[in-house]
Amino acid sequence: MVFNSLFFFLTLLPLLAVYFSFRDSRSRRAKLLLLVYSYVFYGMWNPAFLSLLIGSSVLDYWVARGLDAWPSRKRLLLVTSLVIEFGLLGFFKYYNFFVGATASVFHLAGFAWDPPLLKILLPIGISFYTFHCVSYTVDVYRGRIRAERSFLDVALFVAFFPQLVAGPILRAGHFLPQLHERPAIRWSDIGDGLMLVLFGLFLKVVVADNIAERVNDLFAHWRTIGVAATWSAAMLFGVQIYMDFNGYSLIAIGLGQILGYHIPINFDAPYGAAGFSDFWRRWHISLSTWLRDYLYIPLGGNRRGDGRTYLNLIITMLLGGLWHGASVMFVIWGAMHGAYLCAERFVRERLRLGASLPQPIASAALIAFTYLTVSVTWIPFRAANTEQGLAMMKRMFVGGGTLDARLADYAIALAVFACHCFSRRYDFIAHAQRSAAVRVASVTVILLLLYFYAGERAEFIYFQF
Amino acid sequence: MRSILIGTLVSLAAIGAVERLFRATGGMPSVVPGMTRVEYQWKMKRTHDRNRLVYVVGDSRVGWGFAERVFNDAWAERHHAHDAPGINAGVPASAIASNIDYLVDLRADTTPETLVVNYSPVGFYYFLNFPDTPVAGLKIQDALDDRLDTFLAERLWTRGRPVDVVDHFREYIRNGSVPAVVNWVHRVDFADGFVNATLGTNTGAPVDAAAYELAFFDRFVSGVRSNPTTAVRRRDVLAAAVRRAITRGWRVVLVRFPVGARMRQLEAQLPADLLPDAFAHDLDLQFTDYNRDRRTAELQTQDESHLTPDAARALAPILADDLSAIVR
Repeated sequence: MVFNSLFFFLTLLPLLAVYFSFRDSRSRRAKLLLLVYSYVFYGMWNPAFLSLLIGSSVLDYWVARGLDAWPSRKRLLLVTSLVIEFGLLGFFKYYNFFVGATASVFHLAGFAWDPPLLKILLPIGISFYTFHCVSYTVDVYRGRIRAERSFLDVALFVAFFPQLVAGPILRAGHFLPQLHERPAIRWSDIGDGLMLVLFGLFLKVVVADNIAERVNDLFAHWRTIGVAATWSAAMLFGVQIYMDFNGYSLIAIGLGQILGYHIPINFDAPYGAAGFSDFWRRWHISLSTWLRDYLYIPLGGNRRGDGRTYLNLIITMLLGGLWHGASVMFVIWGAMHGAYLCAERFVRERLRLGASLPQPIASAALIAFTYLTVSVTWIPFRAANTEQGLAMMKRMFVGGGTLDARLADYAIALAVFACHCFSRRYDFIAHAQRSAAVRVASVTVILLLLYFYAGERAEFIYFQF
Repeated sequence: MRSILIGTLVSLAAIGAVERLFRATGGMPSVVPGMTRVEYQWKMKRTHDRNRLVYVVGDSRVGWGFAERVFNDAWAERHHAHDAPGINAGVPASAIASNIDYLVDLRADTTPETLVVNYSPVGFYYFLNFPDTPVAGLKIQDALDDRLDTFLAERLWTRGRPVDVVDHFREYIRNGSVPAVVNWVHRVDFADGFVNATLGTNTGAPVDAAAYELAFFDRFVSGVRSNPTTAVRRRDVLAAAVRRAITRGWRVVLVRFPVGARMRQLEAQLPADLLPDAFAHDLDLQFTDYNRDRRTAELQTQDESHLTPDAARALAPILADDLSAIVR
C-alpha cells in the first residue's frame, strides 16, 4: 500500500481502533496486529515478495541467535547472512545491470556475448529492509545489542509498515528496545503524529505531485530547453524529490508516533546546508548515517591517512549512488557527491577552515554554492538515460537550446531554498506549532488543499529504490 | 489534538459551503461514464497470464453493451468448459486504435488472442484519448483507490477540481449564471460485467438521452462529410493497428452492435469508405452486423447508441454462439 491514498487511510482507521483497544500497546497481540497489518500493507503490492521479506526476517533472527550462541562461529554466521541478504538484493536489483555492463566490456574487448538478461521485477522496499536486516546482524555481531529472543519482535522491526518501503532506515538498536517499553500514548502524541502525517501528505500530494507535471515536462523536452530552463529543471526536481521523500518520511514518523514508536528524522532542511558534509548530515539522514556506520567507518574512515580517506569517501558515495538503482546515472550521481566531499575536505584542510563557518557573507556564499552544485547532481539522478543526463549537465554550463525558463519555476525553488536557509537559525515550524491558532490554521489550509488541489496521484519516488 | 479537531471541522465546513454553492449555482459533477483508465488497465493486466481470450474492444457501446459474465456463462454451457474467455474491453470515449495497440503490447510475449472490434464511427474516427500510456507500477491498491475516487466523484463535485471550480464561479460572478450543461451524473456497475451511466443537467430539466446522442453523432457526421481528411487519417491509423495485431498472430473479427434506427440512418450518411463494410473488406476481416440480424431485431437501445442492460444481456449468448464457431 501507499500512504497517499484514501484506501490506505480507510484501512488504517480500523487498525488504530483495534490497536488502541489493547491496554498495552506492546502486548504480544498488539505487536502481532501490527505485523499482520504490515504484511498486508506490503503484500498489497505483490504478495509473492512477502516470502522474501519474511525469509529475511527468519534468516536474521536465527543468525543473530547463532551469533549469541556460538561466538566461535560469529564471522561465518555474519558472512553467511551478508552474502544471502546482499545476494538477494544484488540479484533482484543489479543482475541485469552487471551482466549488461560485463557484456559491454566483452564487446569492447572484441568478444561477442549475448548475456542472459532476465525479466526481474524489483521487490518494493528491498533496499530498505535489507539495510534493516544487515544493521541488526552487524550490531549483534559487534556486541552493541543482544540477539532478540522473540521472532515477533524481529519480524516487526523488519516489516514495521510506516517505514517498510521507503524508510527512514531503522536501526535495530533504536527500534528493538522500544518493543520492550511500555509507553503511555498521550493524546498530545497522537495529535503531534497526526500533524506530521498531515504535513507529509501536504508535501507529497499538494506540492510534489503538482510540481511533478512541470518537472516531467522539462525533462521530456531536454533536447530543446535552454540554460535557464535546464537549471530550473534541476532545481525543481530537487524540490520535488525533497517534498516527495520528506513527505513520505514525515508520514512514516507521524504514523510511528501515533502508534507509540519513535522513528528518527530523515531530513533537516538540506538545501540550507553549508558544504557537502553538512548536506549529508541533513539529506536522507538514515541512509547517510547507515553508510557511515556500516561502510565508511569499517573501510577505515579517516583514520588511515588522506589518500585512504578520499578513497573511502568515493567508495561510500559510489555505493550510495548504486544503492538507489542499477544505472550508470546513479553511479555518476554518487561519484559527483563523492568528489564534492573529497574536494570540500581537501579545501578545508588546506585552508585550515575547520568545521566552523566563516563570517555571514562567506557562509551565505557557501550555502548558495552548495545548493547550486547539489542541484547539478539532480540531473543524473532524474535523467532517463546517460545521453540525457550528460547532455543536460553540459547544457547547464555550455548553453544551447531555445526554450526559456519560467519565472514561477525559479520562484518555487528559491522559496524552498529560502525556507531551508531561514530554518538554520530559526525553527519556525516548531515555533508555529506551539501556537494553537497557527495549528488550527495549518490543519484547515492543508485539509482544504488536499481536498481541492491534490496533484495527480503518483508513486513516491523512493519506492523504485 | 483539539486544534486538529477544530481545523478539521473548519475545513469540512468550508468544503461543505463550496460544495453547496457550486451546486446551487449550476455546477456539475465530473463522472466517468464507464471504466476509468486505471480500472481498464488493471482489468486488462489481470488477463495477462490467461489464454484463449476474446477481447471485445470498442467505446461505450461495448463498455455498456457487452455483458461479459452472461457471455462467459453461455460460452461455458456451449463448450462444457469452465474457462471464461470474454473480456469487456470497451471504454467510453476511447480511441479503438489505441485500445488495440495497448492490448497487443500487453500480450506481446504471450499467446495472441481473439480481438472482437465493434464498429462505432466516433470510436473509429473521432476519439483519441484512451487508454493512454500504461500506468506505472499498477497494483491492486490503485484499483481500489480508483474505485473510491469513482464513488466520491458523484458525491463530492468539487474534489480535486480547482480549475473547474474557479472557472465556474468566475463565470457565475461575471454573468450571474452559467450555461445549461448536460453531463454524466451517475455511473452504474452491473454484475453481468458492464457499466453504464446516466445523464443529467444543471438546470434540473430532464434529459432526452437519444436526442443528446443523435445531436453528438450528427455533429460528427456533418463534420466528416464536410471534411473527411481527419477521419480518413484515423481510419488509416486504426487499419494499421488491426494489421499489426494480425501480424502478431491475433484473430480479428469486426462486429457492429445493434443501434437505434435513427442512429443507423445517421451513420449511413458517412462516406462509404468509412462504413464498416468497406473497412472489413479492405482488411479482409470477418464482419457481423447485428443490425441486420433477425436474432437481434428486438433488442432495445436506451439512447439510440447504447444497448439497454437487458439488451446487452440478450446479445451476449448470441455473440457466444457466433464467436465460438470462429474461435473454437
